[in-house]
Amino acid sequence: MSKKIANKAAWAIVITMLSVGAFYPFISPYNAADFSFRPLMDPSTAHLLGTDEMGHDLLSMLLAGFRITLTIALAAALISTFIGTVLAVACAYYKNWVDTVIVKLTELFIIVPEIVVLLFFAVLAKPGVYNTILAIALFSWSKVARIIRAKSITAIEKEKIQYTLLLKGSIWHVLIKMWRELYPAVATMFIFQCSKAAVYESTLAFFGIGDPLAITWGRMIRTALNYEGIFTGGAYLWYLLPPIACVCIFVVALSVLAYDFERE
Amino acid sequence: MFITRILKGLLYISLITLLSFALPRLIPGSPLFVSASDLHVLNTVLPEETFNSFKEYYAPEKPVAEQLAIYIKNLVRFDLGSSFYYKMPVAEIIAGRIGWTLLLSFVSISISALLGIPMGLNAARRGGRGGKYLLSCFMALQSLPVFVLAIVFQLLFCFKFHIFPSGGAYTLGMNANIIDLSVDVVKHSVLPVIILVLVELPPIFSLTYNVCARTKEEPYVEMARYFNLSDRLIKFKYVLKNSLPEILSKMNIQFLYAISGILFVEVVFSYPGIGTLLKVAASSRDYPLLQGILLITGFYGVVINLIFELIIKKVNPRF
Repeated sequence: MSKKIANKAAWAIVITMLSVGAFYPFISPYNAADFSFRPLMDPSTAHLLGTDEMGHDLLSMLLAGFRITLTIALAAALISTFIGTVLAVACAYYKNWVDTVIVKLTELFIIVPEIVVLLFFAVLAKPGVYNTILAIALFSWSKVARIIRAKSITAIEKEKIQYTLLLKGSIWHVLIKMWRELYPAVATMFIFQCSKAAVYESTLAFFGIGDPLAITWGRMIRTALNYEGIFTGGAYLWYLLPPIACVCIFVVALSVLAYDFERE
Repeated sequence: MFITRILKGLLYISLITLLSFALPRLIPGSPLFVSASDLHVLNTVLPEETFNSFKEYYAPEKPVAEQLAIYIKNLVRFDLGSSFYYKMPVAEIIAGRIGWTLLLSFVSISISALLGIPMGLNAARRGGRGGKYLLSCFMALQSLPVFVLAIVFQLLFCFKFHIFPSGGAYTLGMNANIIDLSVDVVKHSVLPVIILVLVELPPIFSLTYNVCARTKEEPYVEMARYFNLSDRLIKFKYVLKNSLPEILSKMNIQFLYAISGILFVEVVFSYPGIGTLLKVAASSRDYPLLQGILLITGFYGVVINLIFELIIKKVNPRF
């Protein structure tokens, strides 16, 4: 019973967050890029979360952060899940050396933490939202590949798929035939990847990498920490904690969803 | 057997080396990318001396195969180039910092293993809902970004309640009395270690719980219960001993993941380890230093892997 409530709450949270991301210009009180306000104001009715040291309205920035952070999370998760799934099916389809190489590659990303490689890539590339998405997508597929590979190796033995193998043989046909078997696992992995991508994005921004102009939660956390007076007054309450809370709520809601999907 | 393990380690190391060699040359905008124009940009940004040592180390004007040969030759001599930011050899900088990272990683890993395995074992033995609830709480905790957890803890315990110092590994400019110094170091490391344990404990707990819950249902454990063997004996000799190899081999992976957590916790607490170095390297676009950190974390992973395989072999000769 409580499990069901948790699941519903998680769906509600995720859907609300996505719609905020989609429609934030209508509810945002000011333009997020506007820095004409008096800096470092405490929260008031005009500025519900106050302003930062540059004079941006913090609530507007937080709302703008929904769109960019969630876009990066969704896009990166979509690409990395796709890469991982295709590689996993390639493992089951080609077997032999292709399988060995891909497995060794996934093991490599266990040995070197993904985030370190990702940082390396993101620092080398030109800063920008697309490169952030690309960096996350290119280096976070290893877990997807490992889990889907196990599923595809059992799925490919099924009669209908063996039949496809005999008839046409192309890997895309096999992937399409296998989709029914793989779908639950792929969906779970996609949700999981979304939360991982959100975490990676905020980590990258926290390290000061990524588009310096894009307003994301990670960048808000970093600018808040860079502001020297953040802990002396009450500023952290409306400057630092809201973006932290947004990241945490999003990630936990997704992990609840992924967990429920997995058990079904 | 041992030789194949070493060979496997070498394979991973060479893959990491290749990755660190190929990435800067494949990504447009990086100073080593095939088009030479990016190099000119770097030339205008960096001081003459640094640029020359960079050019000497990587030799970007030579063909790629030759570059690779030079790169490998340098690595074999532990020459990692010279950092843009610190203007010192990268190997020296890393050697000065890695001790703190190893301290944090070994202390936190040992504590979480010593807590997590008994907790998982007990929860699995008792069965019931307690373990399941703890499991879902830990699930949520596990998905949070580590640095966020660290910031919240720092906010509470350093800036609100002033229990622990807010950063660094020791008080700067302290009179070096060995006892005072070690007390000081412990005091500075308590909070980072607590956070790391919070991050590393959940996966160890959940995998011990799952493996032991499965072992508990095995016929030989059932049989031991019919023989009226003591609970203690069943718990340790039957359940734990047979679960341990599987627990250890999965724990291996968790510990390799843990290194990234350590890096972020270090950044938040400005602990003078590899993580803080990574932050400096990333924000100042210090390519040689970044590359050195990538290589050293890979090396760390390979070594940890080897150590674990040896332990597993000790615990259970079947593997």
